[in-house]
Amino acid sequence: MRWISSRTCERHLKQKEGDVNAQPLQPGGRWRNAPAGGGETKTLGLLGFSAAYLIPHWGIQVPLSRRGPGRPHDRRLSGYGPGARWRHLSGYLQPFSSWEQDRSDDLTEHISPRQKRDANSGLYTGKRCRMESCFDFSLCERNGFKVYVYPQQKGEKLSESYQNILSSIEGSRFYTSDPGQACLFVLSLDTLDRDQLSPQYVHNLKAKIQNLPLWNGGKNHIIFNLYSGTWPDYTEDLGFDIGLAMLAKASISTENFRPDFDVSIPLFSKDHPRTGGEKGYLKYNTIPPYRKYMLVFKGKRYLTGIGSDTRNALYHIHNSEDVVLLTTCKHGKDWQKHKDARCDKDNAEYDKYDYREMLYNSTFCLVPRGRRLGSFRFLEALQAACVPVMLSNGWELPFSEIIDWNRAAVIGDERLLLQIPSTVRSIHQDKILSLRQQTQLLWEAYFNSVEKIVLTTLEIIQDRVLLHTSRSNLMWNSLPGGLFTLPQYSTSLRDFPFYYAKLGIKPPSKFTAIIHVVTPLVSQSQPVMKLLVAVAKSQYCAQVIVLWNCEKPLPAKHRWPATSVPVTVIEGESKVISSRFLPYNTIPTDAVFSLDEDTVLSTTEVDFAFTVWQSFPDRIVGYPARSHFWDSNKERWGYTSKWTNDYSMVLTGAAIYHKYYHYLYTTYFPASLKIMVDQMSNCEDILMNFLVSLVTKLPPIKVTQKKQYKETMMGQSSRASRWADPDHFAQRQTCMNKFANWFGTMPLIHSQMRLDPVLFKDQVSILRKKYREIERL
Amino acid sequence: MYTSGKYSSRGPALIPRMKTKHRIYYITLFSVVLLGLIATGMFQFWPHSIESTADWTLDKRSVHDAPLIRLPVSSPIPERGDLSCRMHTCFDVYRCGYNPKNRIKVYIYPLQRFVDELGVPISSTGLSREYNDLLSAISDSDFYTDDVTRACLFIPSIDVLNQNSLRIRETAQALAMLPRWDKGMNHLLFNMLPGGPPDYNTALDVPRDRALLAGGGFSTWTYRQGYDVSIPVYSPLSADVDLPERQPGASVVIPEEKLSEMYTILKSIPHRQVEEMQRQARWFWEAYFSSMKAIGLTTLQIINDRIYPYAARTYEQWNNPPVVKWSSVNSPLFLPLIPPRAPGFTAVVLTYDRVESLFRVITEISKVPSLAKLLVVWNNQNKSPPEETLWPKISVPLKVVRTKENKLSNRFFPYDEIETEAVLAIDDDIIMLTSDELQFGYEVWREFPDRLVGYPGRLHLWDHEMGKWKYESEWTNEVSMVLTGAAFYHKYFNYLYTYKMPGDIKNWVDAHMNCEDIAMNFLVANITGKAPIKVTPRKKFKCPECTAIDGLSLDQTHMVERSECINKFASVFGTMPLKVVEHRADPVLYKDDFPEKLKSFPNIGSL
Repeated sequence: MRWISSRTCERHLKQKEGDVNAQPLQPGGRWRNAPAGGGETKTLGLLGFSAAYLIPHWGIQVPLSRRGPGRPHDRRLSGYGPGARWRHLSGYLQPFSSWEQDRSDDLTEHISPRQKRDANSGLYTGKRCRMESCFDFSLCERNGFKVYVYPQQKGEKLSESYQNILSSIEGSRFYTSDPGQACLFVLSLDTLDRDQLSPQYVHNLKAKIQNLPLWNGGKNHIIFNLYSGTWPDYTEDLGFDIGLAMLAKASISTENFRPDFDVSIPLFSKDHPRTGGEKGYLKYNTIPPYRKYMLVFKGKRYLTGIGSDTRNALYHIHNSEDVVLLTTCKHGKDWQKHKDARCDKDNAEYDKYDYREMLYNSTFCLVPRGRRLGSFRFLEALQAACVPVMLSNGWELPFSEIIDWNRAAVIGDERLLLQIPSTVRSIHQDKILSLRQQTQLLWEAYFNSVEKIVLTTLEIIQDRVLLHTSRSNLMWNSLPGGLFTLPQYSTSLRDFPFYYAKLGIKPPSKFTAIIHVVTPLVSQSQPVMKLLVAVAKSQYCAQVIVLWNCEKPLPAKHRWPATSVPVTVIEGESKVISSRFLPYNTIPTDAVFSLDEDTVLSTTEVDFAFTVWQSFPDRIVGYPARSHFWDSNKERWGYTSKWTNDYSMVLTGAAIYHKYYHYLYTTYFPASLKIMVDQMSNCEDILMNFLVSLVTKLPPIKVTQKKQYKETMMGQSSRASRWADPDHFAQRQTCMNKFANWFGTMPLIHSQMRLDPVLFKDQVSILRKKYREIERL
Repeated sequence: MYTSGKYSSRGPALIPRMKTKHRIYYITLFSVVLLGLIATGMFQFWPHSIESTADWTLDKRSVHDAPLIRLPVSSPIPERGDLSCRMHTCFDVYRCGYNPKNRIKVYIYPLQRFVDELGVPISSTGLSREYNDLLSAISDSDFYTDDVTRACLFIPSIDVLNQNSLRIRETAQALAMLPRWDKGMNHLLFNMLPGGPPDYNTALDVPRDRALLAGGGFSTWTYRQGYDVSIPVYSPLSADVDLPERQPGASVVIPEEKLSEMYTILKSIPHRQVEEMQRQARWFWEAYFSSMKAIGLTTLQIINDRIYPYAARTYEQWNNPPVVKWSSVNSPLFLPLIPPRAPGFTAVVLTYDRVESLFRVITEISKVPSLAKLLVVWNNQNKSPPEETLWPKISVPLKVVRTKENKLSNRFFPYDEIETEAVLAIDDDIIMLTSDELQFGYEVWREFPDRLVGYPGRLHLWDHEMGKWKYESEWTNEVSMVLTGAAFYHKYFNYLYTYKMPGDIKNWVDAHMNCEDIAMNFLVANITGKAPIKVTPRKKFKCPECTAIDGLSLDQTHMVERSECINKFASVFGTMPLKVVEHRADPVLYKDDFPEKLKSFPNIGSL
C-alpha cells in the first residue's frame, strides 16, 4: 500500500503540470490541445495503478484475460495472504471426478480454456450470440455509431411499417449513406412479417440475403421483425438463416432472446404514426386514483391451440362489475366448429361493452398473450394510462434491457390467474398513481411513434457499443427519457438539468454569458458595451464569452471594457447563426445566459432572471416572450410578437438555460434542419424553444422587465433593422410550420404567467425591495 | 510515463492550484479500485473450514451431531443445469401462493453429513463458516419457515460455495437425495467459486437440474436470465461476467476486446461520475455484499421480487444510498401535466360560526369562472349550520360537511365531495380576493399542479442569535411558504396530510389549533423538493393567521408560536424542507402599459 500511495503522489505532480494547459483561458490554440496531454498522464497513471492492483492477485482476479488462463497461477501463490489456509486445505489440487473429465476429452490440449468453453457452449452459432462474440466493434470505432440502410432494390415491395422504420433511420442523426462508414446495417428487405400465411410475407428471403455483398454472415446487421411463425405452433423462427445478425423483434420469448444482443420491440400496427405521435391520454391525477373498472379485457378467445389456456380461463375471474373480462369466440372462418358451451353467452356479453370506453375507464388492463406473446393491447393500454397487467409468461417485454417495467405494469403469472384480482386490489393508491404516470412517461418517451421505437432500438445498441458512455437506469426510466439524455455529453447525472431534485443537489450557482455579436465594433457607446458591463457585474456571472459572428476581423483586446470576470472572445464557426448554440468547452458553468448584442438589460435584471432559473433549471427562463397560435383560416401555425396575455417562447436574445441544451441542439437535429436555420440566419431561437419544450413538455418562463426594453430593441442597431424587416417576420412564421412538420407535432405550450420579484410594484418603501432597478424607469 | 519529462519543466507556480483538484480525482479512483480489491479479496482469502464451528446449530444440532448419510454408488445424479430454465418454466409458483405480505417462505434442510460407500465425505471442508453464516442469517430472517409444507424455496445444507472442495458427482447425488428435491424445483444453491481446471466454467459444475443458482462469476452464457442470481466474487474489469444484478452506477464495464482502449475509456469518465461511482460502490458493498448475511438476504429479496413483481423494490430502492435519499425527492406527481381548465376547482371553506362573513366569501368566490363546487366544512359541533334557504344562491353545487370534532385538520380531509384535482382552501374571512385574482391563481396552479399556489406569502429565517428557525410575516423579498387561508393545491396533498403526515405533527396541530398551514407547506415541499408559488401582489389581508388580534402583544405571541411550529416540524422531518424563492407569479401583462380591457386578468392587486 505504501508503494501505491507514493506512486499516487508522483502522478499528482505530473497531473498538475499536464493540466496547466487545460485551463480554458483563451479561445483557440493552446487549450484545445492541452487536455489530451493532461489526459495521457492520467491514463498512464491509471495503468500503473491498475497494474499495482492486478499483479498480486493475478490468479484470483485475472480481469485481463478472463478467469481461465490465470487460474493455474494460484498454485504458485498459494500461501500468499491470510486466506491461504482455506484454499490450501480445500483440496484445490485434487483431480476432479472422472465424470467431469468425460465432457472435455474430445478437445485437443493446446486450445485455450476460453475457446474450449466457447466451443462447448456452441457459442459461435447465432443462437448464442453476444455482442462480444458476434459483433464487430471495430466497425464503430472510426466513425462512431453510424447506421447504413441498403438501397432499395427494384421490384422489392416494402410494407408501410417497414418503410416507416427505414425512413426513421434515414432521417436520424445516425444515418450514413456510405457502407464504409457504417457500424450497423439495416436491410431493405421487408422482414417484418414472417408469417407464411400472411399476404405481406416476402418469399425467397434466404437467397436474397445471401446475395447481398455486405451481408458478411449477418455480422453487425439488425433485422426487424413483428410476426414470426404461423398456425399452429407460431415458432419464433424467421424462416431464413439470420446468421450473426441481431434481432429487433416483437413477441420474443426469454428462451430465444439473446440478452444484450437482441432487442425486444413492441408490436405496433401499420397505422402507428411515423413521427410525432399521439400524446398519452392521462390528463388528470384524480384522487382517489380508482376508475370505474378495476380490471378489464376484451378480446378473442382461442378455443384450442397455443395461447388458448389463459384466455379460456378468464371467465373464472370475471365478475361483470369492476372486473370485466370479455371474450368472443367469433373469429376465424370455422369458429362454429370449435365452439364450446360458453361461447354463446360470452359472445353476447362481449357485444354489450365498448372496448374504448373500457380502456379509458379502467385502472388496470389485462394484457394476456395471444397466439404470440405480444399484442397490440399492450401499447393501447399504455397510451390509455390503463396500467397493463401482463399475463404472458416468458415474454421478454419491450426494451426490457432498459425499461424497468415494474414501475409501469403489473407482471402477472399465467399460472396464477385466479390471484390476479386480489393482487391488483392489493396495490396501494400511491403505487397506482405512480404506475399510471409512468405508463405515460414511457409511452411518450419510447413508443408513440415508429421513429421513437426505432431510435430507442438504435440507442440501446449504441449504449452497448459505447459501453463506457451508456445511460444509467435512471436516465432511461425518468423524465425526459433516454432519447433526450445523451450519454455522449456526460454519463454523470449531475451534468444534466433534469436530476437536481432526484439527486438532492442544488442547481448551479454561476452562469456564463454568451453575447452573440454580428456588427462591427465602432463606438464605445454601442449597446453591446453596456450589456457586457452590466452582465459582468452580476454576482452570479462567472465568465463572459463574446461570440464574434461578424465578418469584420476581431477588434483589439483593449477595445473591450475592463470587467472583473474574464471575457473571452470566440470567432464563430463559419459565422453561422447555429454557432451560438455550440457546446463550447470554454463554457465553464452549467448555466448559460444567452444574449443578443442589442439586448438592453441591467445587472439587477440579470440577477433576478438567474435566481428564477435556479428554480427551473430545465427550462428557458428569460425576457422577450413570443407566442404561437393556430391560424384556422390559413390552416397553419401563426407566430406573433404582439403583446398577448400568454406566451409560448422566450427568445434566446436574453434568456438563461442549461448548457446541455447547446449540446442537444447541436447533436439532436439532423444537419438539414440546422443548415436551413443557418441559411436564413433566422429562427434558431424558435428551434431552441421547440427543443426545450419537447424535452420538458412545459412552457418557458418569462420574467419581468423594464418596459422600455421592447422599444429599445425595435429602435436602434443593426439587428433592429432585421426585426423591422417584414420578410424576417414571414420567415419566422414559415419556420414554425417547418419545425412543427419535422417534429410531427407542435411541442410549444402556452403560459399565462410571468414571474416578478416578490415585492414588485408593491406599496412598500422601495428601500425594502431587493430588485428595485426593475421598477425604476 | 514518457510525458513526465515533458511536463515537469513547466511552471511549478501553478502546482498548488492543481493539487486539490487532482488529489480528489486520484483518491476517488484509488478508492474505487481498492474497493474492488476488497470485494474480490474478501472471498478469496476468507478463512477456514469449519471444524471449530460448534456455536451454530440447525435444528438445534451441531455439525458433529448431524446424521451420517451413506450414498450408494448407483444413487441417481440430477440432470445438468437446464440452461433454458426461467421462472415460469422451472419454478413452481403454486408453492408460494398468494400472500398478503408478498413474502416468500424459505425452508432450510436439516444438516446431514454425506459420505460415499467407502465412508469418504463428499466435501473436504464440510460446512464452511461462510455457508454457516449465510444459513444462520436466513434462518433468523422473516423469510424463514421451519414448516416444509409451507415453504416456497428450499435451501440445502450442503455447502457448494467453493466447487474446488467438492466431489462433484457425490455432491450431485446428495442433492438428489433431498426429500423435496423434485428435479431441483424451487431449490436454491449458493456458489462463490465455480469451475476448476481445466475449463474454469463460469457456473457451478455440480449437476443441479432445475435448482436456482446464486453464483459469482457467471458469464452471460451460463447465467439464466431472470432465473439465476448473480452475486459477488466478480471481477469488475472483466467482460461478460454478469455483474451482480447489473449495476451500471458502480462500476465500469469494458469488453475484453476493448482492453487496449481501457485507458482512454477510463480517462473519459467525468470526474463527477467517478465520485458518484465511488459513493455508489461503497454503499452497494455495505448494503448488499459486505457479509454473507447481506448476500443471503439480498439474494432472497431478488427472488422475492421476481415472485411478487408488483411488490418489488424499485431501482431507486435498490440503488439509492441513504445519504442521498434524505435530500433527494421522488415527487408523487412527477409527470409534467398541465391539467385542462374545464374541470375547475373545488373551494373548501372552513368555518366555525362566522356566518355573515362566510356568506360574503361564498358570494365572492361564486363569481370565479372555474369554480366547480363549494364545500363548506362546518367545524362547530354545538351549532347547526343555517337553514338551506338562508344560504346565498349560487350557480354551482354547494355542500356542507359537518365534522365530529372542531379540528383544524378537518380542512385538509380528502372528502369524497371533492371531485376535482384542484382544491382552493379558503378561510371564511377572506373577502378581499377579486374574481380575477382567484381565477388567475387557478391558472397558475394548472401550470404547477404539484405545488401550493397561494396568496399571502411567508418566510422562515435562521435566527443566528437564538440558533433556531424564526417565522417572518413582514414585507420580505423572499417567500418559502404560502398560507392556506387562500391557496390552491392538488387533492393528493389532502390525502397526504390526513394519512401520511410524519410523526405526531397532525395531532400536535389539532391540539394547538395552529400551524396547519405551515405543516402543509412542510409536507408539500418535503415530498416535491419545490417551493410554493405566491401569486399576485401583496394586499391588506385581514391577517389570516391571527383571527382574534387585539393588540401588539397578542401578535407577538402569535409569531412566537408560529416560530415554534417551524422548529418543531423541522425536527420531526429531520430536515428543513422549505425552499426559499424570490419570485411571485403575475399575469403576463400585469402593470404593463396596455389597455386594461384587453388583459385577461385586469383586476389584480386592487385593495
